[in-house]
Amino acid sequence: MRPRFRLALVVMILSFATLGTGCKNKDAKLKAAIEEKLKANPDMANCTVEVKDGVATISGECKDEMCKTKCCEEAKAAGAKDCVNNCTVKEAPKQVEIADNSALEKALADALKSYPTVKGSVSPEGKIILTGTISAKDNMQLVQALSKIGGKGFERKGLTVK
Amino acid sequence: MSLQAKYQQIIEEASAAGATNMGVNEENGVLFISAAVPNAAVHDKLFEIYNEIDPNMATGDLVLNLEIANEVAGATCIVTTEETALNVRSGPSTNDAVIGYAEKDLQVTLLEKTNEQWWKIRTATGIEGYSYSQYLTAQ
Repeated sequence: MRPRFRLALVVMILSFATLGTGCKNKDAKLKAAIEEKLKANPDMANCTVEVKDGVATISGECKDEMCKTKCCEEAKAAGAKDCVNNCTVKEAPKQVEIADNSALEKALADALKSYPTVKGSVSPEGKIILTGTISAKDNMQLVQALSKIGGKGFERKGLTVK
Repeated sequence: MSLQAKYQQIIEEASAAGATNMGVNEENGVLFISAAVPNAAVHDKLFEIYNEIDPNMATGDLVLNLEIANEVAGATCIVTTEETALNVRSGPSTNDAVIGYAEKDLQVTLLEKTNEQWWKIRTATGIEGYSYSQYLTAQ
């Protein structure tokens, strides 16, 4: 092989080698930089990143949609050319709404003590449900008493007024 | 017809009779009217109107929450039972022992509105205890 050609070849090989290593080094550095940013945010701390050729791929569990969007923003801010977001969003625990109708139930039970032919209960929405039978006169008294105890209205289709 | 239109007569009558602090709200197909009315007579009149508009108040789409303004501690009340004397109990529930009676049509003194159903009273003979408010009318 002619010496100049050999030299050129060696230089080329070395350059590629360097370039290759440089690429790998750059990726490793970028990965480290992105990881640092992710760890700094507790919402993203469970996310992991892989970097290939300057493109970051983020996986793992993110707290919510906003966090998921931010992950890639951070990656790009750290220098990633592009970002593939494979993060999953944790489903928020469902808030269980427990309506406290116990005070209403107690007041209802107290009011109904005088009307043994009437049965009452409280619906989950807080409506007073009445069933049974009652005289017109007692019905007036009962409605007056029950209108003071709270409640979101009455379900009285099952109550017959004589 | 809106619910407020359906029960407009109650609202007007209450105003005319001197009701204060009137609130009218509609929520989920139910109308809520709350007000302070001067005495039991106005209270009864408004419920009569309610009964006329909605016989036996059977629809259940109105919560008419009326506070009677003269029912305050210190007020004189008449016992308005049907026939019998009113039980006076040691505590504000039918589980509490009967310690005395307040005769029908006689006066007692309202000491405290313990809750909606039970008031602490003092009878003419000095017995202090709790009676069912439904049978007491402030004068």
